[in-house]
This record gives sequence, structure tokens and C-alpha cells, in this order.
Amino acid sequence: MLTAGIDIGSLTSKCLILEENKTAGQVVLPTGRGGEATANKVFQMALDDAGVSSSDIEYIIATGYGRISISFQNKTISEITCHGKGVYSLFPQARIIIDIGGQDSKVIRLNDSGNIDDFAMNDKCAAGSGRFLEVMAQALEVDLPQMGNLALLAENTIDISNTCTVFAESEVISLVSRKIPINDILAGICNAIAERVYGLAIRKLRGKTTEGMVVMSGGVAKNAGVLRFLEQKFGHRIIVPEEPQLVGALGAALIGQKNLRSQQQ
Amino acid sequence: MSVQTSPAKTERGKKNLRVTKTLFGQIKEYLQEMHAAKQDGSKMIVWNGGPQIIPMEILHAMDFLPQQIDSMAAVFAAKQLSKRFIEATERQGYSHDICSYYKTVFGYLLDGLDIPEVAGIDWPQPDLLLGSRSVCVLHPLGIRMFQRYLKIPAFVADTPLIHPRMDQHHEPEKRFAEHSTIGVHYKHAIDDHYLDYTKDQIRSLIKFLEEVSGKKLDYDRLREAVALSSRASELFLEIQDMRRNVPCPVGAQDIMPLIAPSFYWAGTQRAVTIYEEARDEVKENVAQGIGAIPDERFRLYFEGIPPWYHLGLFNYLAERGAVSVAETYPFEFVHVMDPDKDPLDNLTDKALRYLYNSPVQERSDMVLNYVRPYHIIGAIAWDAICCKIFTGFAKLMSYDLQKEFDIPTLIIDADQADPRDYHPAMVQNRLDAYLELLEERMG
Repeated sequence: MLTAGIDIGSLTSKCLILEENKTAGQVVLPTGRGGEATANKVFQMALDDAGVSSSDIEYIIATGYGRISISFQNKTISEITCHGKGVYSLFPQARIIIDIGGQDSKVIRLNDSGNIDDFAMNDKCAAGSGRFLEVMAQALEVDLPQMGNLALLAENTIDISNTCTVFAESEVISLVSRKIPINDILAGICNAIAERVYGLAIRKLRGKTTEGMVVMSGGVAKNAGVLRFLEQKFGHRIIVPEEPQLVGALGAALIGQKNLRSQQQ
Repeated sequence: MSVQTSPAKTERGKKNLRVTKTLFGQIKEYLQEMHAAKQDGSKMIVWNGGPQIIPMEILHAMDFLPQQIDSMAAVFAAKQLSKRFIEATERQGYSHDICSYYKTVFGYLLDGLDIPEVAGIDWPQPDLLLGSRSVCVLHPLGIRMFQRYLKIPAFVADTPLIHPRMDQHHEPEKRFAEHSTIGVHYKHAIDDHYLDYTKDQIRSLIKFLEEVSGKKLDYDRLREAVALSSRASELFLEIQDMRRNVPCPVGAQDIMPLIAPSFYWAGTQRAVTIYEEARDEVKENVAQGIGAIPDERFRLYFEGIPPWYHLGLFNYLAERGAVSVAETYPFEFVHVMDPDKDPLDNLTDKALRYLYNSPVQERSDMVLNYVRPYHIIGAIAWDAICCKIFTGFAKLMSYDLQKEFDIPTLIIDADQADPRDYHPAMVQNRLDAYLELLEERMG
């Protein structure tokens, strides 16, 4: 049984092909303009990675903001549900998922059966999302993948506004002209996003969390600086899957398997 | 090139009741009455920004032709004109973050009076302005803003806000068990000095109205208006009561527009007739087992003011088997009164026991009291940041629903009249995820 999960996000598009309980193929690529062309491209690349053809795929679930543009799906499911399924399959002890993607951040609470119990998403502003980090990396002429590691080298964490990405960018530029060390500014940026997302998470917690209960997914999970600041706020280590960006696509493919089995019964 | 509002943002709600489909026609008729009165000077047009304490019953009994500022804004939003008017107001220096209702109507005065797009909804300029401090601190300021611009007489009343100690005998531990319900919003006793003060405000209003109109208030007519208002309230509550049925016979798509009679025409036979027709139709639906939506799966509570520019939100929910079976906003002015009581005492009671004048805990209790009888499994709160009454309340309500019934609330950050603060992709994503969550919970 081969199923596919396609997750079209604002910054990256992902596809994961599942064969029983093994990942047969997976791809992450920039979304660009998006739409069906991107969906086709990411699907084809995942098929190539798996060494199969599209006719081998028995069920396709589409998720992410761009899911409605995919005509060749069997069903669309929100990324909240898909992330929940994906994380629970990897870490059955997980009860809180923090997903920070390109344009939004989410906190998802799971129950003991791995179903979504509740969730919260950021308010309108991009200040709690990957876009915030992208804008800052550009303003500081720093390589986005290196941001987190550089932040960990900071001697101080500068306080930076987390209300508005554009205003925060102006703030950062003025800090640079005051000759504040770049690493300290980067630490401030990472802390700002962590603080904002932690504020979201607090609303959904039921009591204190312990190590193993909190999992981070989405592209920003690769930012070691944001991760460290979040861990400080939670007071314990946070699990990051090996491929945090693919968790949604994994969950989608798993739902595809479940739906297929139901159909076959 | 003109800027077009995105089609994704604007869709009308699909109404099911015959009476709701004809409602807008009645509003237009009322508008024509106002134009005729403006022309021949037979009656004075009043813009009422505070019907919570400025009773429409008194205005109708004294033959004024009142219109409510919020209602005008809702109509402009439904006709996709609110964005234009709000922008006109903001160009005068008003903040993005203040009441979109007031900005819409003020913008109508600045930029909308003679434009072809307002044909059929071109409210004539008022002769009088009335407002109150009840509910929201912006309302009295908004009335003064209108007064400065229009240079006409204005009256602003004051109402004490009800806090939990309004009655010395209030027993906090009885909340939720001793429930407040829609129609009797604050059930506890209120001490005399609050009642006397508020009644005095109403007397001052009457004095003001008598001076500007040169006519005395006929208390027999007021008694009749109060009786009609109370009857209309009873009928609207009867309709709400029938929504306990499964399937729900009438959803928010119809209930929201049905606010109009209690807003515009409280104290008139017109309101009673409309609610009688609606009640009869809903009764017919119950008798035949007809639901508001074809495949009812999720029964929801809807909190807040809906997006008037996009009542198609409820169509989206309906397509997914979700129906709002209960709300509190439409019942804002519903108040059953005692026909044997003095009409001013009745109206004083109505003003003080007004839903949004009550402590937030009472409001939350009202929502909790809907859950079991209405078989509610979820809640959506439309959280307009410009409206402090709602944006402060949604979190408390969601906390209480979670604590008492383990019901999660979806809080959506979007405005009631300003389509710029509505982001379809974001909202749709959250709605989809929420309905999936409810689906999983139902097993």
C-alpha cells in the first residue's frame, strides 16, 4: 500500500510517500508561486525519490494552505490534524506540538489517543512565524540556516519587539547602527519568536509539561536558537523530529492509509 | 482602476425562512418613511447610538423615527460599502483600532451621502443624536463626534455598570447553578439607588425629547409600546427555545438578520408581526422535522457580532454540517417586561439588566446554560479587536466552556464590519481544523 501526503505551505512544499510504516520517498522544496504546478513538481520529485510512479499511489491527502489548489488529491485535511497524526506516530508520548512554519505558528494539544484535543494559532501578525526570521536574516545579511547557531554564541540577549515584523526590522536596523553585536541581536530575535509562541502554548497547557511531552515541528524547529529559548521557557528539552518540516506530510500520508483501509473493508 | 473587494471575502448568508428574505424590503420601506418625514418635516429622524438605555419604545411612542447606528453600519457592511466609509473616516485621522461600526456610519456622512451605491440604503441625516455610556466608552465619544460634524442636538445618558456587588445579597457561589438566561440577563436584585439613578437618566431623556419636539410623552402610548416590545421579546425567545430541537429549525443565517426588529422597531406592532411570522415558520419546521441545514452534525454556539460583509461564513459551516444553534448577540435587546409595572420602571430594569451591562461572569454563565439543552458540542467566537465588549470576553468564555464541559472554542480574530480585518485563507484554515477536531471527538 502506497500513500502520499502533500503539504503545500507558504514557504516550502513537502511530499512524503509512505509504504506501510516506512517512508519510501520524501522531498522539501521552496513553494515559490505555489499552485498546482508546485504540487505536481513536489509530488513528482517524491515519486522519483521513492522509485515509483503516480499510478502506484493509492491515496493522496493534501494539506497546508495550498491544499485546495491540488486537483489530484483524494481528500484535503488541515495541517493541524496532519501534524497531530504525524507527531503522534513518531512520538506517542507527545501531548503538545509546537509547529512554527513559514507564515504561522500553532500549538496543538493531543489526547492520550493521539487525537487533537485543542489548538491555537497566532494572531494575524507574522511576528511568530518563519517569515519573521527570514526578514531578519535578510536585514542582517546572515544565512538563514546559520541564524540559530550564531544566536547561541551571544553574550547577551537583546530585547526585541515581537508584535510586528516590520517594526521589529526597524528596531534591528537601529541596533546594528548602535553597534550591538550581531549575535546578541540574533539571540534577541530568536527569543522574541520563542516568547510569542510560548505565550500561545501557555493557553493550551494542562498543567506542567515534562521532557518527552513537547515536540516541535515545522521549519523553524531547525533553528537551534529558537529551540534553546523555548526549552528554557518550558524548563525541559523539547523533541525535534529528524525531519521537522515533513511531519505534516507524514501525518497526511498516514491518514491516507487509514482512509484506504476503511474503503477496502 | 477601482479596487475590488475580493470575492472570497463577500458572500451572503443563505436564508431559509420566508420572513427573513423579506426583511430587507421592510427596512427599505422604513427608510422611505424616514425620507418622506424629512421632506415634509412631519417627524424627526433620530440616530440612536445607545438603545441599551435610550429606549426605542419611548422614541416610537413619541413618533420619532429612530435608527440605530450599529444597524446602519451592518447594512453598509452587507452591501460592501463599509470599507470605503471606514477609510474615509480614517483619512480624517481616526485610528484603525476603534469601532468599525462608528467609523462606517461617520464615513457615510463624509463620503457616502450622494453616491449611487447607497441607493435603497441612503439613510437621511438625523435631526437628533442620542447615546449612552452603557456598554462601551466609545459610544458617547462617537455621538459627540457626530454632533460636532452635524451640529444638531444630542443627548448622552449614563448607566451604572452592573458589577457583582450591585446587590448586597449576591451569592457568588450560586453562579451557573442559579443561572442567568437569555431574556432575563441579570437575575439578581439591584439596589434602589442604581434604579433611581437610571430612571432619572430616562426622565432627563424624556425632558430633552419633549423640549426638542415640542410634544409631550403620552404615557398610555408608552405603556402600549412597552407591552409590544415585551411581546416581541417573548416571540423571539420562543423562536430561540425551539432551536433546542434536533435538527435545529433555524440557524444563525436567519437569526442574525432577525435582530433587526428588536433593534429598529422595539415598541411597535411591526416587530411583533415579524416575530409572529418567524415563530410560525420555525414551528412549522419543527413539526415537519426540517432543519436549518441538510446534514446537521455539529451544533455550535456562536459568540460575538458576525461579519456582516460575509454572512456566507454560515454557508461554509453549513456545507460541512455545522450550524449555530445559539448566540447571545441577537438577543441583546430582548427583555420581557411586566405589564403591571410602571413603564419607566420597566425600561429602567431593561437598561440595567442589559446583556452587555452585566458582569462578564454572568455572560459566561448564559453561554454555559445553553450547552446541555441545546446539545452544543463546539463554540466559535468572532473576536473583533475594535470591539472591547467582545474581545475581552471570548477568552473567559472559552476557559469556562473548557472547564465545565471540555468544549474547545475556536477564537477567530476578525472584524464585524471591516473586511480589511478578515483574511479568508486564515479563517478557512482554522474552521477546517476546528471541524476536524470536533469530528474526531465525536468518534
